[in-house]
Amino acid sequence: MLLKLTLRNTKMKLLGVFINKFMSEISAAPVSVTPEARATRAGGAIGGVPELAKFKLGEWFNTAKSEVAKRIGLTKAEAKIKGNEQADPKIGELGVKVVKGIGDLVEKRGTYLEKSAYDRSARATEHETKLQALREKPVEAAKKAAEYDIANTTLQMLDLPGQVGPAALSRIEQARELAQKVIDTGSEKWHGFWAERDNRVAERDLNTAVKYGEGAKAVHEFADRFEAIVGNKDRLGQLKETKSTIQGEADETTAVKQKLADQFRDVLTKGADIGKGGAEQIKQQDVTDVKKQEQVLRETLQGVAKTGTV
Amino acid sequence: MNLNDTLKNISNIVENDQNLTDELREDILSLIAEVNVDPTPANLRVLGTVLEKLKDTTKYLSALKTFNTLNSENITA
Repeated sequence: MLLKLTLRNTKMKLLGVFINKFMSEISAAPVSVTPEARATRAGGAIGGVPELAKFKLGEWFNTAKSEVAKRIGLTKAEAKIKGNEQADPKIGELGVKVVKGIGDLVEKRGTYLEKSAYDRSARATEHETKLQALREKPVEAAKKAAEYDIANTTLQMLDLPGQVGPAALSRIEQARELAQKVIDTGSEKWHGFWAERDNRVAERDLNTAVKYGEGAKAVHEFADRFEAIVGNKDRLGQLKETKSTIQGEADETTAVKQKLADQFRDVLTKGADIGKGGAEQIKQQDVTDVKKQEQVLRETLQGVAKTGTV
Repeated sequence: MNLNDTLKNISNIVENDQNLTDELREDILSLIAEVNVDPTPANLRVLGTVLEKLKDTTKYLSALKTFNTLNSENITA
């Protein structure tokens, strides 16, 4: 009995050792980055690792399926049951059937797991393809950033108020950093099953980069418009001249209005001496003049206001 | 615990084993029932052999599942 127990324990230990060895082999296989995979990654394509994992998985599952009966000892168990002649034939047949059923179950489960592993590998490959496409985008973003940098230089040359230049520079710098971050992390870190999630982060970063870039572009366009006004000396001179003329006209109009108002006040004050009819006539005439001058003044002021917003 | 109770307990375990297919579960339960009716040493040996393989299989399937999970983690590492 003791011997039997010892044998049984030894058997179980051996099985344990086997399982541990098997597990360490399998768990180690996909992550062992071969020089080839390393070279592939270094070359920019990050498909090396999942491809390697796929290969190892296929190799392992094929081995597992073909040797499953042997490993669990199903063939031996079947022979043992068949050799037990004293057992009820019906029970013996049922026992053999169950043992075969166990074999089928293991194979089915193995096939299922194999399929899921392949699916996972396929998904990883798909994510990598997306990533590869995504990695092209930062280059465009970086080009845009460079364009905006040029735009910013133009802004500085125009000597615009201090806030505009540094803000644009900062945005461009951020856009560049983000683009670089996408490139770096894309080539070094992102691969495999979580690539999709990282893709989303990259997309967000890229969108941010583009957004910053667009902000810089908007500033640039503003500068263009400003430059067009500042740079056109004729237009500027004309503008100044017009403004000066209008201001002069406005001043004159004010003086006229003041004069007329004084006259009107005099007419009203001295009206008693002139007589009612004459006073009314003068009054009516003065009122018409004042109104006319007021209209001229109003139009002139509107003209000044309009020109000031150009 | 007498043989009848032991077999009943094993039947309960088999009935609740989600890893087994319905067909395999039925076959095992039938085998246990047959042996319970005629529990000769030879018949019990057949049942013992089958249950031992079933136990090894459960371990094997668990290991297989673990390998698969480890694989997933390694792929994504």
